[in-house]
Amino acid sequence: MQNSLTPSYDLRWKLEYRDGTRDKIGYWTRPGIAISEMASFQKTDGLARAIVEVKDKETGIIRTPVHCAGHDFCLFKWVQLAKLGIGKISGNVVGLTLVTREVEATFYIDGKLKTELRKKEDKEFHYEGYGQ
Amino acid sequence: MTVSIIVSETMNGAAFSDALAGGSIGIDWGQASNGGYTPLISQAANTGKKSMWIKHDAVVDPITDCKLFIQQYSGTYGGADTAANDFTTYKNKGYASASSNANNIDGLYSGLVVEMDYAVSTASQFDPARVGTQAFIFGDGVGSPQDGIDLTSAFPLKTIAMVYDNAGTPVVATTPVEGKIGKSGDAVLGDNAAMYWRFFLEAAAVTGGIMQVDVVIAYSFTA
Repeated sequence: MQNSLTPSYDLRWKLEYRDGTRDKIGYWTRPGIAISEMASFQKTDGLARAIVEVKDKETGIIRTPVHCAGHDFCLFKWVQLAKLGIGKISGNVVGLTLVTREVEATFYIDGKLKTELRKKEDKEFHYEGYGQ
Repeated sequence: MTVSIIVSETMNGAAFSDALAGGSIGIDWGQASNGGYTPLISQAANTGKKSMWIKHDAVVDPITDCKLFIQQYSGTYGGADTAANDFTTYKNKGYASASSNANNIDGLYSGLVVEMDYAVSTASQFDPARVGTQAFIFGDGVGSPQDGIDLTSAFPLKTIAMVYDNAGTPVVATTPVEGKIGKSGDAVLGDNAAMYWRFFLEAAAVTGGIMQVDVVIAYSFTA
């Protein structure tokens, strides 16, 4: 009951580059620790596609329900739930969001997909954070 | 790198460390009497509240989409009924709340309430007239999209909760954005969210005993 979603899927990010030689893939349902493991620190030059991959925990089948062209990609965000209580709390990952210039699409561990248009202030957050 | 939330009773202060029935450690709201609330100092003066400060350890970006909801208690249950029934009771009390008074003097206020205005006046805090905009009752909005009982219906953290830790002095953030808590040192978004909590008990309540529930924060982060 740490999170209120039934975990049916594992999630990870993937970046495919035009030269086809240096694709990057994150860990299943965790952000990574080293810079080389985290989506935020990957290069975006020459990016062909950004993808949220999901793996059915029961069948092991991997699908790509969320993806965008490289020129439209902004960033990935993890969605996490944490119980309020004692001190420093990490909680559990429950979703992975692909952010494009106009849309945010989140795939949750229970299989639900949520898409919404980005707000003006969200775009400012992105451009401030990454200096683009 | 995962991003962690840091919760405390005062800005940069001690963590909540109440020993709860059943053996877990967490937040004890206290004991409410019929027609009152907890924590209570003076009902006539509308004083008494539990303060909560939330910040995080992200190093790249603010955390975003921060919102609150309650769910069935996940610790070792030590209440008077069952964890599932307590969750239902919390929701029902929120839904039934019908008071016109911030201090529950009419005995119709019920449920767990979060007041998100850091700078609210004593007279106005938890005022039912503010419910839905500055204060939020968990379970209140059955039939509306926001009742704070799951991720879908969670209450976004309002801009009025965002505070900047200016060398130990809390200062209201200059340009806060709903649901966003900035990195440490961010005076624009604010680097803390500060809020106040109460549990109200209606005058007509008949069942006593300890109730337990999880309060959950949902948030998005990059690193």
